[in-house]
Amino acid sequence: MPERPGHPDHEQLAAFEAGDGDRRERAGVAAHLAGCSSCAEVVASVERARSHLALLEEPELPPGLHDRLAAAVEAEAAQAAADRPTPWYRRPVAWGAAAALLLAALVVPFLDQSGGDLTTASGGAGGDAQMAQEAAGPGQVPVLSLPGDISAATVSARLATDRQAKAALDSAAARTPAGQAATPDSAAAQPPQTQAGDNAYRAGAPTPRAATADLQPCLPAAAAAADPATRPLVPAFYIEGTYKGQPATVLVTTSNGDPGRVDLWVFPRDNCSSPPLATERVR
Amino acid sequence: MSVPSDEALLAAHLRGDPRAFGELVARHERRIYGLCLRILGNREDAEDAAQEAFLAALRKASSFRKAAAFSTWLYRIAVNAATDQARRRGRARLTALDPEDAGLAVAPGSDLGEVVASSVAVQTALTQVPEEFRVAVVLCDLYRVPYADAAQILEVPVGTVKSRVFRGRSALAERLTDPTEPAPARPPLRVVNTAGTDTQSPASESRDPDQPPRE
Repeated sequence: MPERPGHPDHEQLAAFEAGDGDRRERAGVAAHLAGCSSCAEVVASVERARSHLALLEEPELPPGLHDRLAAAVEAEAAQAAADRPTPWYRRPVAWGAAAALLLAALVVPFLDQSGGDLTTASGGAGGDAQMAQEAAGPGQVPVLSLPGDISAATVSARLATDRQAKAALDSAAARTPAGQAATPDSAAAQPPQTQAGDNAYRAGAPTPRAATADLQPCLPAAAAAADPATRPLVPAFYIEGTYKGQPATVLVTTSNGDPGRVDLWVFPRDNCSSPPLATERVR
Repeated sequence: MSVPSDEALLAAHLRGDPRAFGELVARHERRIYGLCLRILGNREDAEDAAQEAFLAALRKASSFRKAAAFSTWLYRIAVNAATDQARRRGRARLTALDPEDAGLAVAPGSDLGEVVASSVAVQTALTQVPEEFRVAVVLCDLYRVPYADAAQILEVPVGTVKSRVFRGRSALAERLTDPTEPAPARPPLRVVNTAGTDTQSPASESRDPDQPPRE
């Protein structure tokens, strides 16, 4: 837009259009616009543009983008942590044969002879990753995240589309008597693992974290509130997110007494000491 | 239950909380994606730019100055990511004609064909507005960012923001001029990119019409 002598420049017109300027300045511009059709047309077209722009609404987040962003950020954070030199006390311990034998010599006398195999307990010659995976062994309940508000509908949708959620639920179902009869294969009781290549952006999405001890009371709190016919409840997974806009921890359970049933139990975030704030039946 | 502020979450992240940054991403992803979509005009570029924005924010987290608001800081990173993406992809990239890719919602009861056609036209025209003006329009008109905050995001004076918004709207209107309307009494104010001078505008300069004039 060129500057033209005798006409307000674009900055003056912009200020006028934005409602700026004292009464005298505005009166001056207004008077000019009353007499100058080209400047008036410029202001009118700017007004028209605003009504055009009103046709554009805020776009929805495309499906999959939330997971993609979460995974990319996690991978970047992990990379940064890996690049930082580890203090000597955090380095993974190499359980070489000699070390294992020494430990066996020291510890075995104190173990029940019929008890567990020492090499399995030590995690073998793995690094931190393997030890973490063993920590989240069968019986440990993962914590997932869910974009958007949590409700029976969103959890149900999530179970259909999210491999981790579905695996956690299947694993819980496998722990019920009905489930155990159907799937005797012990692989069904393994914690959910993401496969490399599941994540479209980078290989190897992180395994979900296991629930920490402070979430343990959620299960009995939910059970206390549950219909007795559905007890005992079997925990499938936790969700950290929001429930009706408030940060919440949600426990999703299936039922020993009513197979196929899935419920969700809402607690304040990270706080299972209170009874559930709400419950919804998912299936 | 109190909800932690963005700034509190970032502080928690810097102290080592492993979930805090993910929470920030979840809070802001839709707006950041939308900002990129309106600036870049298509979903693929917008998704790439949104990812770059959050990764850049993660890398720069330790340099966040508490004096600024988190959202201002994040928007600046997002605008830079979007303009970098545009530079990488080249200005010639066409707007996707798929309404879903252009992020268009249609109000119930409206004539779907008409609204979609005009919304696509608006997004297409917007993508053709010179970038500096387009960014200002997206921030202030579409995302209702106050002028003062936009000035911080773009690191220019407030008057410049207002001027860019004005010129962006004007450029948008030009590109959406209904061809069936009678021609205006005076020629439009657009500078013509020819070797000669435009008799209506003594200050014209020959330049690429897609480049905004120097401020």
